[in-house]
Amino acid sequence: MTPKPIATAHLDGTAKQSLEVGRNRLLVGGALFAVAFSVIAFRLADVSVVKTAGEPGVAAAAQARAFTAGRADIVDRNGVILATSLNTASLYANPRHVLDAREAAKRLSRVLPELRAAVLLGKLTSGRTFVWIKRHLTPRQHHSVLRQGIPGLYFQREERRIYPQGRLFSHLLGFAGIDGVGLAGVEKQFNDSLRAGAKPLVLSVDTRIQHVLTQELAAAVGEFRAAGGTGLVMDTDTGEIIAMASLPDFDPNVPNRSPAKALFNRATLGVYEMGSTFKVFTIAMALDAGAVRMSGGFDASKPIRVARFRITDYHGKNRWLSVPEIFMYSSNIGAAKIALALGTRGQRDYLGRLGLLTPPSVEVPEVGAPLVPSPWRKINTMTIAYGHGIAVSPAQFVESVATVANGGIRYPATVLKPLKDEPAKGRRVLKRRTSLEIRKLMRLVVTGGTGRQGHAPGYLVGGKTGTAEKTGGRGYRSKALVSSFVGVFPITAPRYVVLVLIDEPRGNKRTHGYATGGWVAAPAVSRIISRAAPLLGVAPVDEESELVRRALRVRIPTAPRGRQGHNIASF
Amino acid sequence: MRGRVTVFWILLAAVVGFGLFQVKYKVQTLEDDLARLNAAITAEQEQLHVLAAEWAYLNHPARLQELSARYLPLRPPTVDQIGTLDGLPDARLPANGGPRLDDVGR
Repeated sequence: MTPKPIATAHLDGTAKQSLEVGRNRLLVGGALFAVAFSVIAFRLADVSVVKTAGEPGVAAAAQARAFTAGRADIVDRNGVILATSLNTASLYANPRHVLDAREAAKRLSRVLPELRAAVLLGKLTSGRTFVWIKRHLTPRQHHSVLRQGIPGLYFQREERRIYPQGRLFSHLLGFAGIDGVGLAGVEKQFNDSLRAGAKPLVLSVDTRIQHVLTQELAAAVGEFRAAGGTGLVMDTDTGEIIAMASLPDFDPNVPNRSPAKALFNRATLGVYEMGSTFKVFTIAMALDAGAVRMSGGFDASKPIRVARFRITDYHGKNRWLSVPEIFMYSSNIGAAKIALALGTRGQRDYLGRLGLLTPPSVEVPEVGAPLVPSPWRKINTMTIAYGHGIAVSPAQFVESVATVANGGIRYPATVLKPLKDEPAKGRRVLKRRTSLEIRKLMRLVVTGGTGRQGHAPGYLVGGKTGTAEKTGGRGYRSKALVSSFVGVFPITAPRYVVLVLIDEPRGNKRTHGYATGGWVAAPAVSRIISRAAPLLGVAPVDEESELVRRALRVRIPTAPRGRQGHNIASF
Repeated sequence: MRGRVTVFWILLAAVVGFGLFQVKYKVQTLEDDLARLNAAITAEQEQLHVLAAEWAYLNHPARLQELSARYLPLRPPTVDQIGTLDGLPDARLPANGGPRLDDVGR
C-alpha cells in the first residue's frame, strides 16, 4: 500500500501572489472586527460599571396616586372644612342608542320625579348623540337609575363643589359655578391656586365664632325688622378676620335660588356713613397730634351753624363738655370742634394713615371703595368728625378701630391665616399713649355712656355706639338709620374687635321705640362677646378689682380749666 | 473535554434563563398586587374625603346647638363658672384656721 501522496502545491507566480493578497485582506478584516468589538466591550463596561446613569440601581415601585378631587378644599383656622369637591355622577343620554324612548322617558321620570316625562321624551327623541339628562346625581339617584337598566343612558364622572357649612360663610366663601370656576368671594379671589389642587386654603375665620356672630346678628335683624345687617370679629394684633357675616345671606350650594340682593356682601362691598362710632378716630387723631388734651373741653351748649347746615347733639347736655364727656355722651358739636382744632389737613392725613381713604386689602373680590368728600371743605371736616360725609366699608372700619385699640399699629385686614413663623407686619400710626387714652374713653361709654347695653360682665368691653341717618334722594332720612356698635375687649389689653351694624332697624316696645346703636347693636355685641370670649380663650376678670379700676381711671373736668374741681370717674 | 464544557454552558444558560423568567413572573404578580392596592388606597381616600365632608356637615354648629339643647343639660358657661388656679384656696391645712378646702362653695 503506498501512502497517499501528499498534495503539495508549489505555487509560484501569480497564484502565490493572490494568496498573499487574500491573507492580507483577512488580516485587515480581522483587525477591523477586533477594533469594533473592543469598542463595544469598552462601551459596555463604561455603561454598566463606570456610569450609574441609565437604568436605576433599584427599581422604583409605582406610588399610590395621591387622591385629588380637583379643586382644593377651603378650611377654617382649626381645619374645619368650609368648601370641598366631591365626585358625582352626571346622567347623559345618547338618543341614538335608546331603543324605546317613550318607555325610557316614563321610567326615568319615575325615579327622577323632578324631570317631566314630556321634556325627557323630547330630549330622547332629539336625534343628537349627546344630551344631558341631569347633572350631579346623588348616590341614591345614581343607584336607582342604574337599576332601571335603560340602554342609551350613560354616566359622566363630574366634580361638584360642596359647602358643608351651608349659609354660614356665604359671602366670605362666595361660590363656584357648575364647571368649577370660582364666581364670587374667596372662591373667585383664589380661583387659580384652588384649581391647582394640592393643599387646602386655610382661612383666618373660626366656624364657632362665625356661628355665634351670625346667630346674634340674625336675632337683632329679626327683632328690629331691619333690612339687613353685618358683623365682624377681628383679632386686634394681626388683622385676621375671625368672623364676618352679612345678612341677608344665601346658600352657596344653590346660589341661584337666592335673590340678587342677598349676594351683596355688606361687610366688604357695602360702604356706610358710620355715624358716631367715627368719633373714636376724631378724638384719637386730635389727642395724638396734641390738638386737644384729655383735660380739655369745648362749649357744646349751642348748635353750630355752617352755611345751610346745623350741627346738633342727639343726647344733648347743653353745657361745656370735657373731651371724655364729648365721647361718652357722643356730642356732635364737641366732636366737630375737636376736628376743627386739628384742622382739615391733619384729619385727612390721619384718616389716610388709618386706611380709611383707600379700599381695604381684604382678600375678596367684592371690596367697596370708600366715599370721600372732594373737595374736602371745612364743613366736611366737621361732619366727618361724627361720621357723616364719609362712607367706609365695615371691614376697613374694624381694621382702623383695631389700630386705635391695639396700641396704634395698623395691621391690614386679612381673611387668611398667617403662617406660623410669619409674624404680622404692622405699621405704627398712633402713639401708644393715644391708644391707652382712647381705650379708657371707650370703657367710659360702656360703663356710663351711650353704650351701656354693650356691657359683657367679666370681659371689660369698651366701645362706641353709632347711629347714622341714611342718605336718600336729597338729604338725610331721619327714619332710615344705620345703627352700630363697635366693641373692643378686654379693654385693658385688647384682643378682639367686634362690630355689629344694623341697616334700617325699627324700634320696638322693648327699646321704647328707639333704634339707635346703643339700643339695637350694643346688646348683640354684648351677647356675642359673652358667648365667644370663652371660645377665644379670653379669661374673665373681676371688673371691680383695684387693679382694673386704677388702669381705667379717667379724670373728667366738669368745667374749663381753672374754674372748678374734677370728677374722677373710675368704673 | 470540549463536549463537557459545552454541556456545562448550555445547562448554565438554561438554569439562568429559567431563573430569570421566574423572577420576571414574580415581579409581574407583585406589580399587579401593587396596582390593585394603589387603586384600593385611592378609593379609600375618596371615601375618606366624602366622609370628611359629611363630618363637617354633621358638625354644623347650628345643628350641634340644637342637638345639645335637646339632649344635653349643658348650657353655655357663665363668667362665674370660669376661674383661675390663683382663685383656689390653699389646699394645705393652715395652722391658724384660715379658709379651708371644706369652705369652698359655701
